[in-house]
Amino acid sequence: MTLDHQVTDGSGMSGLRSAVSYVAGPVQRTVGGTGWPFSPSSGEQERLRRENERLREHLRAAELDRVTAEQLRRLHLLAGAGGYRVVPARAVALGASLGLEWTVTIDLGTRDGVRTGMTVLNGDGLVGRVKRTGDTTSVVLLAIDRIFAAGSRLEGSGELGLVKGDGLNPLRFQLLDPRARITVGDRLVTGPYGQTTFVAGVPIGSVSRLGSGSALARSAEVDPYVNFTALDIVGLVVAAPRVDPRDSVLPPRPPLNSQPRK
Amino acid sequence: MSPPRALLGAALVVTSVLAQTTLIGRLHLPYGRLDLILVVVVAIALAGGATAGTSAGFCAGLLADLLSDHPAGLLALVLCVTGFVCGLLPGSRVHRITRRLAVVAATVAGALAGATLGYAGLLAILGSPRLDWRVVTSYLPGSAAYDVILALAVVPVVTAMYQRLDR
Repeated sequence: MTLDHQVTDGSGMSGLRSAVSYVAGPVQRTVGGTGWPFSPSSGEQERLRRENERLREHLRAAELDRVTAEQLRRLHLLAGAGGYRVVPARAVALGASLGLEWTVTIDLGTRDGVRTGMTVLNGDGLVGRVKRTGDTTSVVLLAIDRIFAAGSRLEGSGELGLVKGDGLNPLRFQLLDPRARITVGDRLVTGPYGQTTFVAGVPIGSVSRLGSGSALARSAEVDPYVNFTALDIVGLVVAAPRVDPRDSVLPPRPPLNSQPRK
Repeated sequence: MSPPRALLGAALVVTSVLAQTTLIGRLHLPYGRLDLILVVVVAIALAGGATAGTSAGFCAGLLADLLSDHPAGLLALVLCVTGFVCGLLPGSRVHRITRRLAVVAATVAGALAGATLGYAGLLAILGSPRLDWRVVTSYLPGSAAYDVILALAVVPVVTAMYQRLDR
């Protein structure tokens, strides 16, 4: 029924998979990297209208460049705060299954030094990890996929737990210590330092709801910082920080009793 | 199946898989998703018959499998069966235009439901933690509506291509 259920690296299908990604990868890089190709059709032949069209196109391109630059700036800001060495990449394609799978293809592969298991982030926080590498493209498993799980740490108290994806629903967080305190608004980062496949200190999200009932008292729902349906520029962490970034990558918390400024 | 027909089918399949993964998959429509691969497989099956539908479904499914992260062969099996069944239906042999559109709409909606439930069923048999029946059932009506709208544009074009080859 399936050709490679529970893939091992030695199976014949991994060769076929890399062959297909070798062929399809460049096309996906080209098509997916150009942005949305459909512009409103002019339909009329007037010179002015065409010129207007062209100028609008320039404006749109400039706006796209600005958005890209802003995403890169935020990515490098976050990388700088954590001491991560990142390589920027672009999400060029999505996995084609019937809506149950959350993966993206990025335009970097083994040629660029991408390895399986690398942490992927963007300017907002944790995006996922590299699941499979091809020659020129790689597949990233997003944090909202149901097979995704990451070790995580509560800001401040440092309590450890496991974050799991649940599609478009909030992430699920489970504390390891049954007596640990957790409240709505607590923020999560990856960790602990040096003990997970992920680099430590990457912001994941904030607790939005606590699990109800006694058996679920140690679980919570977490709203991720990253907008997973609008991924564009992401960063691959190629070198982990030399020291534990702890909570330093999280954005500064607004003071609790701040008054709205007039 | 004549060589020109096979070539046309291959071109349609490859184009649909690449367009689905790079462009259409990123749309993130509310209440459902648009599936060009399924619509193209159904269109080939309606225009070319069961043999064309089966092979197009298998090739499109395997290509999509290899570009995704689930066990390879799942979509190949599901779309292969979908293409076969749709190829048995009297899609292009219905002559009244309104009735033909109705047949196309019903076929695509049925194909989507069958393919989605078949795929989810296979995931259930494999015990995949990715399977979420809430998502499957809540997406079905919306996805069916999107795919029917897309099919009403795609099926006539594909049918015309096949008829032109035959002339």
